[in-house]
Amino acid sequence: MAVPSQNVSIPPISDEDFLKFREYFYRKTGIMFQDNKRYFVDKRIQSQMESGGFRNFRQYFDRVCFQSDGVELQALVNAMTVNETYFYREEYQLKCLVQSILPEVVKNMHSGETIKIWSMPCSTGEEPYSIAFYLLEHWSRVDDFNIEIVASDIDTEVLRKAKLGLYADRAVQYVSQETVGKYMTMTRDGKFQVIDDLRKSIKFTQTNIIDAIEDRFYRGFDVVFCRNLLIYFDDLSRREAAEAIFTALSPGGFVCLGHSESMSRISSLFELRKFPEAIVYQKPA
Amino acid sequence: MPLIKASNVSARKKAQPVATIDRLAIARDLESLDVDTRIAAIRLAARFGEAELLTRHLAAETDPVLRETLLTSLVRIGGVRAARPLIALLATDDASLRNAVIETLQSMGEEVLPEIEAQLENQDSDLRIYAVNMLLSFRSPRVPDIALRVIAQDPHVNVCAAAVDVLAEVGRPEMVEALQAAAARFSDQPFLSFAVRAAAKRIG
Repeated sequence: MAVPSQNVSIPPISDEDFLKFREYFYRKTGIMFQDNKRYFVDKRIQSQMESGGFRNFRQYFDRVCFQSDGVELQALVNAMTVNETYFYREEYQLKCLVQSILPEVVKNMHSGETIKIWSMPCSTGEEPYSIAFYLLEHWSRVDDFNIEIVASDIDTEVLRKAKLGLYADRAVQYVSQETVGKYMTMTRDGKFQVIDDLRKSIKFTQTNIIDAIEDRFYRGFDVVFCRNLLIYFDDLSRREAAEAIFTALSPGGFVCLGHSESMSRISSLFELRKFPEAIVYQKPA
Repeated sequence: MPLIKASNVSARKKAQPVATIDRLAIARDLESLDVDTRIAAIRLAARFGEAELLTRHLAAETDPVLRETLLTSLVRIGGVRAARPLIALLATDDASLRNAVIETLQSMGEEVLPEIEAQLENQDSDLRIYAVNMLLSFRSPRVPDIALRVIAQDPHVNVCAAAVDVLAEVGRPEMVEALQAAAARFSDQPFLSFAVRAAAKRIG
């Protein structure tokens, strides 16, 4: 006879608890959940409570706030962040990278020097691998330089997946078969995995963009891809993120945002650059 | 394969614990001639809640972009800790800085309202006017009563006029009498009588 699982009844999240959680999560991550996300937030908190065996919100929230190693908080961050993406998303920016941005970046560089690119947030890795594929396939000077790609996210679970580099065919539907064949292998269950050499070429790190202590080692980048992150932030966090990107970039470095995001509305730190392929932002040289 | 593994210098896995950061270096870096160093120092100072240090630097910072970064950081610190040193800057002769400080205080929310309210006792009537002008942005139910107290007590006509403007927006019908009393108190100032009539018409 099967032993029934212990059913812990999870109480609903009260308005007061929701507000308390929202303020805390915002202070920790810069992500502000509006009231219309209430259902999404409640469900994920309750799911975390259930899997951890917590009987009430207070007990759970105390653990999130005061656990010394931050494991519960990290699990909550992982549950709350959105990670839906695919290869070659907003491809026009990748075109812009190889046709306009990089030629400008290397104008005063010598062969053998290093170009640094930061993909942040990198989610499950589609963006940094897309950048790598694109450079290898479409930038004629790719062999002239050392290219460092650093890929970061606040969510440790997506980073684990990113390092694994394993994707369903839907994720690679916009990549040519030829490119997929060169840089991915098909697994027995019909998924595609990025080849070892390429996976090892990208440095995956966990960081919180609005935490000045965590991000202070991210410096000297020539290009930052920060797409579809700022839309989850309120104005204050957006400004802080812009400042973090500014300090991470070398003078003259570029930042690419998502198509619905505009740095001009956030900060005056950057200059607008209109290239034929895309509008990007540049740190003054 | 031309792509190389990123060096550990560019991105370490874990940041150092807070205790190992040299806080004295932050103050030193704020004086740096290098903009990147100054911005990084501002962000770290904010992370440690160093509102006074940041505000002192704000008064000296000439780069408008860095001023913006400083103000963002002070909003993030928020509360009384950031509001007090900022309020001290309201007396500056630099109009652009003063306006930026006012906007920053206004964005800090209701928790700094008591600090603004305290400025209504300041001997400098200009500071009292700034304080009254800021009241509306706090959207607090206490604002009408604070403005009412100003029109009943403040000896300076321009401070009272600013409070009349506040009451025109958020006053209640029972406050009309107090408004008229203020007009009577400054009967030699026709512009105040005019403002009171307009306010009374709106809320009466």
